[in-house]
Amino acid sequence: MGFEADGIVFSYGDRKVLDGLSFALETGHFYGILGPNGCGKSTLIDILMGLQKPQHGHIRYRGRPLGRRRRRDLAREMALVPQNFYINFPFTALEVVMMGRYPHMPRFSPPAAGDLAAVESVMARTGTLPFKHRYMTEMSGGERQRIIFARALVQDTPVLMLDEATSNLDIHHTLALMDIVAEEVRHGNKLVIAVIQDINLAASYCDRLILMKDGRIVDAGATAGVLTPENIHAVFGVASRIYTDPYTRDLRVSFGKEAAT
Amino acid sequence: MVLLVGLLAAAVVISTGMGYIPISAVEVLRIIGAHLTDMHTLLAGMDETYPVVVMDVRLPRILTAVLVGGGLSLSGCVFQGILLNPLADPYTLGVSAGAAFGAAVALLLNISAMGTFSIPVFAFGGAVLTLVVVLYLSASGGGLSSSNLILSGIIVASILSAAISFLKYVADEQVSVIIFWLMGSFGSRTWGDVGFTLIFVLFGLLVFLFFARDLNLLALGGRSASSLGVSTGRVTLVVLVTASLVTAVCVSVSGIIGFVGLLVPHMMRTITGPDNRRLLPAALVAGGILMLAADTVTRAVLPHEIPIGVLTALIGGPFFCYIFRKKQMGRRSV
Repeated sequence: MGFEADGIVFSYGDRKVLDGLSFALETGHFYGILGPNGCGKSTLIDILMGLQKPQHGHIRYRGRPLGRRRRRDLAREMALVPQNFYINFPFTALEVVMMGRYPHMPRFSPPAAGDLAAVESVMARTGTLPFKHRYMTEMSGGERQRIIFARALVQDTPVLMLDEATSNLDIHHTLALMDIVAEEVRHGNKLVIAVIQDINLAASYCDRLILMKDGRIVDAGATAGVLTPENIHAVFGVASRIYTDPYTRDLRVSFGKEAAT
Repeated sequence: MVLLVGLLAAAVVISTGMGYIPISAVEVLRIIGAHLTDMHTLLAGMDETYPVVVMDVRLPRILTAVLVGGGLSLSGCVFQGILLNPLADPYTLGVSAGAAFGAAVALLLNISAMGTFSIPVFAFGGAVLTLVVVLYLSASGGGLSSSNLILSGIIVASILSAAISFLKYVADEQVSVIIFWLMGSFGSRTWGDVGFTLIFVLFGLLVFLFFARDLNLLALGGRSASSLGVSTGRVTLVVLVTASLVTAVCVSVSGIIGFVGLLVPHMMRTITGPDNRRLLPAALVAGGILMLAADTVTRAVLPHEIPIGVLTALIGGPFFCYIFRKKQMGRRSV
């Protein structure tokens, strides 16, 4: 009941970014998309969210073509935590998190008690309550990132997309937020699709991986099956060893220092 | 908000009383009351030129000033919101320059085919045409990105200002009329101007309020706004076209009046916060008050009437520098 994509091709002008992708994403899983810079990961997220339309191929969400859905309906189905976030106007943290409720609120009505409660509980969960009255323009990058994450959570959608959502965060907050997401997948039966640069972070949290290079899928499937030294070398061009870490019992990748082998 | 509206009403009454013939606030209220209710007994015992001065000379000018100030502030808010740039205003898109060029053409050719409305219609045509060119230029790069919009706006505006200079050079006898109009003035406005401006400013307010929430989301950037359910392209287009319409109408009745559309949104944002649902109405009213105050100063306080565009630029310019400097210092990005 998630996504089905068939032969997705997408180009910016002459540059082909996605070259015939076919895959299925099922609800209740934490997908990690791995690949080198500029391999089309963010574009893939845009296409899954219906923000960009592929030139060729079909994409269906819950069995229906994505392109026919209205933006507002989609906003109740999927939320996005973008990679780069900047804001020029002094909205407070609370106001920005409340924006996550907009898709659920009628255009001219003030937030209902339920909306306020949802915002309060998500901000408590993400540890952002202490700075709810501070201005977004006066926060550090990491604090802003956590507010945007809270905004996506409060949107309360079956699908959550993370586009390098933890790139600005220290290890404590990275783990805290990934724990919340993993919890949502396990108990909320959500579908999470995360573009992640840190392969070991992906190995710890994602149960499915999609490896991409040059706009094509190199390998996809359960994490243990996809994470092989051969695949890592094919995609990133580095040598690696993969083992189960005795401390966390997660798969770990350690990389050879000589990059070009 | 109630306070602001009260302040505006008070400002209208007081400024109506000020001028070459001083009229007390009570008398002003009696005259307005008499016209609204058709009770001519209210005028008893008053100099009979007073009602003429108030109703035919001062009120049209004052209400036009209020509406133009409000309209320019409103468009300023919206341009800043859409371009994600707190330093943007109607000029950034070249819309004002376009309107001015249209009006200058009308003045030069002495076109009076459409009576008193020939200048507004030409200004309006110029503004819309400019907007179309600017949108066309910026859209060719794929999508309506704010930097594309600003760049195209600046390019088109500089071409237009050169064209206006050329018109002034060619104009000969009409040159003083064009120059005076370009500097902006509310002198000799009629009830026709009031009604004309009122219709468009109100229409703009309604459109902007309808999209106010979407404008808030657009402040997060296009990708985030789309993911929160905004049809980004459609909203941007509708709101930009409407804001340009409002600007064009304001410029066509009053000439170029700078800095109001830039400063008022800034001032109000520090009071109401950036939420457009509160900011837009507040900016409308505050812009009206500010413009009225400036116009009253040139009309009734200074010994000689100077063009209001010059006055707002003289006061607003340094204030703008102050804001810009404060922003650079990074104390607070207003």
